[in-house]
Amino acid sequence: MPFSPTKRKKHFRRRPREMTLQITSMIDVFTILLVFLLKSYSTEGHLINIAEAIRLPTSTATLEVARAVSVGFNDRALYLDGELLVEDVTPYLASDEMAIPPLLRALEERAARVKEVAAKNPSVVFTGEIVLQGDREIPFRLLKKVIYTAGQAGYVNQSLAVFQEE
Amino acid sequence: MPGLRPSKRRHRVHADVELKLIPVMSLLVVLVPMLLQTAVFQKVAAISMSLPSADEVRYLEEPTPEELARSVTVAMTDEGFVVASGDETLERVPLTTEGGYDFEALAAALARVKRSFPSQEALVLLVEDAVRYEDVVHAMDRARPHFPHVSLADRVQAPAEE
Repeated sequence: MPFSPTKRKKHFRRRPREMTLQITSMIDVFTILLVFLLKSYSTEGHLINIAEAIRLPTSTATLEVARAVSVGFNDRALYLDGELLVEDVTPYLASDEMAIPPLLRALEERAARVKEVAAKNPSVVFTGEIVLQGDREIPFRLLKKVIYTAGQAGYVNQSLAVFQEE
Repeated sequence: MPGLRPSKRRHRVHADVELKLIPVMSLLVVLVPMLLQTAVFQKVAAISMSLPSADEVRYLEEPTPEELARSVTVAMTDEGFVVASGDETLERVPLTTEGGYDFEALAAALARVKRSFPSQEALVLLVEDAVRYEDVVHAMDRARPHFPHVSLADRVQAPAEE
């Protein structure tokens, strides 16, 4: 049983009792946040890395993006798997030639490498899958050329990456 | 069992029990930023479209006139959409007054066209060079509920036109 301190001891207890933070409400907030974040947590993670300069168009499509080679392009540059490949696409856009030579070379190299591995290792198959990440502002002419170039390099299972509309 | 009268001796008042929330707090402070960082707010989806592979012979086959008559195409020009089947123009959807494509009208037009071609699943989108990619994707979105297989094609401006 707690005993009441003597008068003398009472004298020492001048300073207020130890302060405790009222953190219960903060815990509430955090718990709700945690649940919300866990719900939106997707184990897939970012399968594709999108170059910062590219703003994909929005679409109602719901198909999942496959893990594949990605070609990103806006009205200035062309990226292969997130790395800058062509700094200025305007001459290729203007030319009458359908293919974009540097992209064709790079894709053919890649395809050859995968096919070489596939010949030795049966678990690797060249599927010809490619993800095209086009900026929403590009003209169709550029998209057409990229599609054609990828097709020439053997990448025929193409998909267009888009942002999902809610 | 009859209720027992509580003992009068048990009168000790418990002081407010404080939950030890500090460890929970530390856990949350670590977990929340981690999840925030990995959270994906903008989901990326894909629109699939397969090109005919070079070794597929089917690619080289000419469509029969019958197939051509059943096919549905939508041309995207600088004047709007033109929905056609074979050589016959079915619907024209002009641009909106602001100069953009009228996607709502296209959806309505395609719904009407679908009624006359109930078994047709494919649609070819003929796009002119200058059309913005975003508009192409939106047109594909509008066409997909009626014609699940949307393919893209290049629209060559016929010099004889007008």
